[in-house]
Amino acid sequence: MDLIRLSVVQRTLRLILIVLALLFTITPLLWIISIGLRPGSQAIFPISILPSSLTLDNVYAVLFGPNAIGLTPYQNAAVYGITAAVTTAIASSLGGYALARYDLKAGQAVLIVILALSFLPAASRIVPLFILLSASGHYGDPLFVTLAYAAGSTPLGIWLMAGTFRQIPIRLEQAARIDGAGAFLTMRRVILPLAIPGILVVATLAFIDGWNAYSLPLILIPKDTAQPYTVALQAYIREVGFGNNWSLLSAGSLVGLVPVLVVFALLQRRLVRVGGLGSAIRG
Amino acid sequence: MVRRVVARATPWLLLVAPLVLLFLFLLLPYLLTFYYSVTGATIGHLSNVPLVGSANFQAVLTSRNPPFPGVLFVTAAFTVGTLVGSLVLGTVLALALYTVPAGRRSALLAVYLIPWVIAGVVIGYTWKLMYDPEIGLANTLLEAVGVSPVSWLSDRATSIAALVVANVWAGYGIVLLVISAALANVPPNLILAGQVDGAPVARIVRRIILPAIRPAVLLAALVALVGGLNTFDLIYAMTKGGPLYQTETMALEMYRLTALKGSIGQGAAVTVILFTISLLLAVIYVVLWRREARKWT
Amino acid sequence: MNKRLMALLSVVTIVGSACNATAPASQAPASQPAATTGASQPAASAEAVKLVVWPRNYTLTQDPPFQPVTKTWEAAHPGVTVELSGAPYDPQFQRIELSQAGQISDVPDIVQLDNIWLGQFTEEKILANLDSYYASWAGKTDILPAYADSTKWNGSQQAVWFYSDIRLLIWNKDVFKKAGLDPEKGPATWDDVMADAQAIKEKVPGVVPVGFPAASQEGTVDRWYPYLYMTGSNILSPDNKTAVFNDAGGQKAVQFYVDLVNRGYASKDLLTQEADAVSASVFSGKYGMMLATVGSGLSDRPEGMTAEQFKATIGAIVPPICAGCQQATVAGGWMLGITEKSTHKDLAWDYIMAVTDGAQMVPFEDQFTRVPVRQTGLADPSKFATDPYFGESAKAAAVAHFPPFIAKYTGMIEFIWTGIQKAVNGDLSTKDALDEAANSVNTLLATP
Repeated sequence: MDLIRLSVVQRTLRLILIVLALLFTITPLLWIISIGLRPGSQAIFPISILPSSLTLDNVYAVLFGPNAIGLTPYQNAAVYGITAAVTTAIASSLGGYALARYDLKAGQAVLIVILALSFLPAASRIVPLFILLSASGHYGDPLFVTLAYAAGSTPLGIWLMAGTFRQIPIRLEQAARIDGAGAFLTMRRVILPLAIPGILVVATLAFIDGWNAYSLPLILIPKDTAQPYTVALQAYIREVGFGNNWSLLSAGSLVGLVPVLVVFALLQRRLVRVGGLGSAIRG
Repeated sequence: MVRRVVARATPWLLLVAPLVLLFLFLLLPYLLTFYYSVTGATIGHLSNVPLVGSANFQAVLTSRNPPFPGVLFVTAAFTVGTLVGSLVLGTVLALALYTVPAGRRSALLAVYLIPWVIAGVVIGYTWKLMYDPEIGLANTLLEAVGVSPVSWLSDRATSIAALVVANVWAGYGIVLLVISAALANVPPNLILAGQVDGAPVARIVRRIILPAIRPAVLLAALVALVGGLNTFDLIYAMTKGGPLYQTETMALEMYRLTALKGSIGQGAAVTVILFTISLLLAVIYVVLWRREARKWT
Repeated sequence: MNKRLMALLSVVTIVGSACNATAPASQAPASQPAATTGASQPAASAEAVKLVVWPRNYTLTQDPPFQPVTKTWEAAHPGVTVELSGAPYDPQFQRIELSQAGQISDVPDIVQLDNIWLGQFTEEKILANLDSYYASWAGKTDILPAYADSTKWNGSQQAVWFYSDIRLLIWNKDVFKKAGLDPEKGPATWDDVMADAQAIKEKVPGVVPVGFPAASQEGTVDRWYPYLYMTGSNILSPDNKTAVFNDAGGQKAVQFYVDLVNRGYASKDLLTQEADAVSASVFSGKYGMMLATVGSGLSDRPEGMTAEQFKATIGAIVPPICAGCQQATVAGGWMLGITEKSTHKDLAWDYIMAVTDGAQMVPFEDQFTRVPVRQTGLADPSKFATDPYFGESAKAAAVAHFPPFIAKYTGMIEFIWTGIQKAVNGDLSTKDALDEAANSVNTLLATP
């Protein structure tokens, strides 16, 4: 913002703040890299901040060594994330539109309750979902676990989409209607393009929730070939590393970090771009 | 005539898909949970369960391992800590970035957002390593300046704070993002007006900018609050709620009672209590939101 | 008879009889549960059948007991595949409990259960009644007499003995050497432990002298029991109705832990450490000694370490005693059960027979320092040569105790564990912590 001029002192303060925040954010990741990429023999007390040699042995062990988790858990997580993203985007758009365009008193109350429910940790749904899924014969089916996560992201998604849709002037819709366009066409040609930034935000949030899912798959996806990497990693660290083999743990965490960082790097423009989130929250 | 019926039904038709999804996977499980909270269900005994009235709630509220006020305190401390930490850090940083050119600002925002996209378990392990008494960076740095090592995660005095730091690290990015977006949308005229009056930067921030972004701050506060209350994976990976329940929030107590101990009735009781608190917070939030929205229309 | 066979027989007999003595005395045959017992199901047809087996994780990493026998068994039973999935201790209990609720979809046919879970699982109707199988099992006389009846609950057979184990103290010889202690001589008394710990504390900085698990429930109490029993105390009264572990002996045993922490020989971080992690730390030299581990620790050795290297790294000894106390250790063991919901009980029994065959189990028991439960397993004692500390195991077995077989065992140990934790953490005095635990246990035992 070029409007505000800062004095030298203020500039320095700003710089210090930005740098400190950068350090705060990056340092734990650097430490994980430092421990994960050094030989296990160097990961003991007293420890040097910089390793004297680097090795990929730990990463290799986690991915391909004995009892390794392999690449399947990552594929699983990707599938679950995308499914959750698509489901949430659709559900949130429909719900958000309804809420934005129609004044439904009942809808408000329901939304408050649902919002309150989404405050609760996903883990609190484990047992009832277990019972419901078992009773309907779907226990162990990852699709339903993914839908459960989508349901968790949807309330906030509806809220955000409602905000997005409120931004779109109703005159546009009315104009299209006057021109004879049916509801569907209006939706597709007029509204959706304007709502895309909001939809992308909601989809990204849901993807992250689905990709990072842990507590529900932990109990509800017992088959290890269908588990996401969060569960596989935890089991691996517990069994092979006894919970305190830091070399393996760090290497495993690194492996868990890289894919999500790649995806994030690709999508961050959209997410960070002021327009997208800004319009969503203005409502 | 038909058209009118269709027209009136449209909003509900639209809502069918999300409502079905929410009902099946969100509402119904919780309804079941509320039901189980008044039964004596255990993992080994889930059908034909006896109704036990408020026995589960009594057990939870009067339990000695852990004492309920303790769990409440840990939950409150952790949630408030996360909320305040994320809000303060996010807002201050957003203000600092406000005057940075857009290109650099986007790049920095992307970096600050990185922790937010990492899985809770992985964040837990990352910070567990940071806090490790032997090879953690925290103690290594302490030793470099001659201070004796601290058991961050097992020491009663530091464990909750250590967890809060990790959770703030995880969540402040989204707060930062929301407030940055709001800042970018502050009408320049307001700021120009302030400058014309010769106001110093600090006053412009306080009197003009902060009030202008209040809705965004509210939204960010909501996200941060949910992030604090909701947190399970991170704490579980770091301390499992221990040692001796000193880091056990209600979320963890619910999991422990349900999945580890098998007392589904008691776990459900904890969920009900947590839901009551959440409902209260949701109502307060909506009230605040409405009041804010009214100011701007 | 050669020495090894004598030692082996005594190990097994004594451990087994200790186990049997604490099994529920009520042999009054309760009305047979109307369970579908294996009264001849139709002969296995050629349709694809899957037998789901849930053993402990470490049993899958060795060749016996499962890998080789599964291949030959599958070959002998065309159309049947065996699906094995292992789990660590706590998740094993958890998933067996969870499998009980809900529908069939991934319910196991066979589960490996800790002997202390037998009562609970039976009362929860997780395990099938095996009386009819036992009745027609000619080989049941192969089970050592001392163990034969302890797979019964309320008069019915509910499981098949798999293998047994005892607890010893282990130490890291390298750490001892660096502390100026004789690496071949482990502490024989509590005073020795304190003296050795002091030496380690002074001479080997960065190493914690003594470790014991305090994180998980069963892992903690199980490794503590030897120190309780050696004071002459017990967990419950003989009728299993009242807690007695808070008596003078019990307090002494907990105070031992507390003193270790107060003198800086053990760290409060142990409150976050489970048994596997502690033993791994002894192997890696992070800790000097572990007060009690399974067998001589041979089975915990890191992958790739030979028995020779193990002997050079680790020493093992019967748990050290307090002044005026008796030598004691605790014994445990694992059984195989068939789930009530299994639709392949005949096949499951057949598989169990193949796996638990005495001779088949020997290499596993040898490598993992487990105590065999079959007579055929003892046929060639020279096969148990891997463990350099077999003599100590035999000594310990002679003084082994089994924890009480009650249905509420897992509920009870939660209180004992919490009491130990509170005392170690300094939240309560030892006496108060144990009294609180005893009160909770008594309340638990009193409720139906």
